[in-house]
Amino acid sequence: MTFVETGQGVAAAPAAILSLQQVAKTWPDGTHALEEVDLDLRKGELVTLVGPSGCGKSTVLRIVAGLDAATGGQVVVPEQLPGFVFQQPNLLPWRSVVGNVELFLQLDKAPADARREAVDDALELVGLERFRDHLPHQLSGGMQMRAALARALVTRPELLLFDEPFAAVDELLRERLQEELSRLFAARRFAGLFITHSVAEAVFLSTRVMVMTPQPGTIEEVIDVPFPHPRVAELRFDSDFVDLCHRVSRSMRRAGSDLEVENR
Amino acid sequence: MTALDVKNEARPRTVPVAPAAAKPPAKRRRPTRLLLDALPPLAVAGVVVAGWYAATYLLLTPQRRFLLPPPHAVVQKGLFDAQARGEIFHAVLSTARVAAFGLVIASLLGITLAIAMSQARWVQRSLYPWAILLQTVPILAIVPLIGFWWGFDFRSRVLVCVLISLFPMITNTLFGLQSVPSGLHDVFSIRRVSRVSRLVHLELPAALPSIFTGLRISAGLSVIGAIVGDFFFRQGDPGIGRLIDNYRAQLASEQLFAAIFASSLLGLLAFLLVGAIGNRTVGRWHDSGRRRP
Repeated sequence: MTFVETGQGVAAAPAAILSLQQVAKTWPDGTHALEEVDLDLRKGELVTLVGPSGCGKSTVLRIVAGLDAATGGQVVVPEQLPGFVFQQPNLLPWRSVVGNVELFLQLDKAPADARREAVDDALELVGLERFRDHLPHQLSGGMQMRAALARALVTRPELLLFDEPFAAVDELLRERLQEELSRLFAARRFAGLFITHSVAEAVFLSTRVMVMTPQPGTIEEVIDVPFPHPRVAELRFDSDFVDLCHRVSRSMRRAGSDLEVENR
Repeated sequence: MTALDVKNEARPRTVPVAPAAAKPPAKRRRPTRLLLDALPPLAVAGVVVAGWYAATYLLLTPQRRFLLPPPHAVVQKGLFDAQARGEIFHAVLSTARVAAFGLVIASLLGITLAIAMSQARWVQRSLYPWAILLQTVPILAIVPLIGFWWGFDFRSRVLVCVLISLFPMITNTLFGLQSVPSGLHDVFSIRRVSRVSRLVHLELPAALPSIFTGLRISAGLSVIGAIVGDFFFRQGDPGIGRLIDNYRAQLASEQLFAAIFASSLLGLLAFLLVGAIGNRTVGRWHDSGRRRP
């Protein structure tokens, strides 16, 4: 596998800051987790990988984050380390909200005033200014997730990775967090790669939905979502939105049925 | 984006209820609750004292009463007899000094060894079996050898304390360092941080509750080590172990019992002191600190 450290321009279109070409992953036990995954991500795009569990969505994300290595193809990632929002908040329980948010800046040995400014900025963005000195266990699950978001945003990454961050919260809170993320995206215009198994979440958040088939994981269909960000709650009742959801659902069902046939 | 979602959470312990309550909540401890907590153990103490009196006056003839003097006689000697009180106080102090030295050395050494083992598999592979050996060899059996090699005074006593309290420090620290949730490790992995940073900012803080568990065990063991050392090493400043032995030889049973209680008190004090330091350090964020012993 070739691993180029800096983004390379693609003719005409604005340069993709993340580019996967023919990426494959085979686990040591011989399982083909991914095959021929192609993905280009530009600034101002929020791409969602959606698919049944076990289709390798998270593996794509881990490869992009450098937590796993691809066994084939080409991966071009930005030089700056991406922000990563995990499925769990994963906050350090002994650090306050501020302490958690500034962790990466501290590890990078950023100067104190720059650190303070970036932390205040990130906390304001997620609405946690008044809870800055709370410890994680004193926060609700939603606020913990916001703190985790602030931690990912604090380094001002061009690329943000989301690994089913809202999967473990209840429906109502999940929708509110999605709306907040849409606002964040409209404000910061980063490039985002979001993993989920929820069709509605995928359509609500992304500029482009990529449906994955399992075993080996590959891209089944790419569907553009035209609604402008920030998106509001009412969009969920829009007929165009519902139609798009159905389209993604059908695509996912096709992807899933292959699996069932194979298993039989 | 407000704190409206607080109600949605299924976490009974989360405290901030209203958006206005943006201050970390203070710990509460009502005096009545303290009293209620103290009542059951006090009741047990009452039963024990009553049983003691019964044994002294009902089971023992006056000639044999020296075997178990009544509680008030022990209290009278231990607290109000200036000579006995002075002897016991100084002996306990000397023992405490030995135990404290031993505990400090054992914890520094134990934590260092555990860090070394956590950093490289081969270090753990080569050292851990010997740490277990340290635990399985009866310390009492090698105490005479220690005196033989190192002399019969302060140094050897401290060494006994170190030997006896080292193992819990190693195992608990190692356990703490190695049971950091993988999700927290991922947070550091995506930043590609160095090993040292990971140790300083993640593994050591995460291991603190376990380190304090080890310290609590080792504090008690170190006091035991100091008293054992007293029985074997008869040079230098006499500790409580030697005083106990002297009182036994003199058949001074009131003083003997008072000295035994004083030594237990020392062990308890060591345990409580370490516990209090632990609570201050990690009780803020770790569950074990919020529970009371």
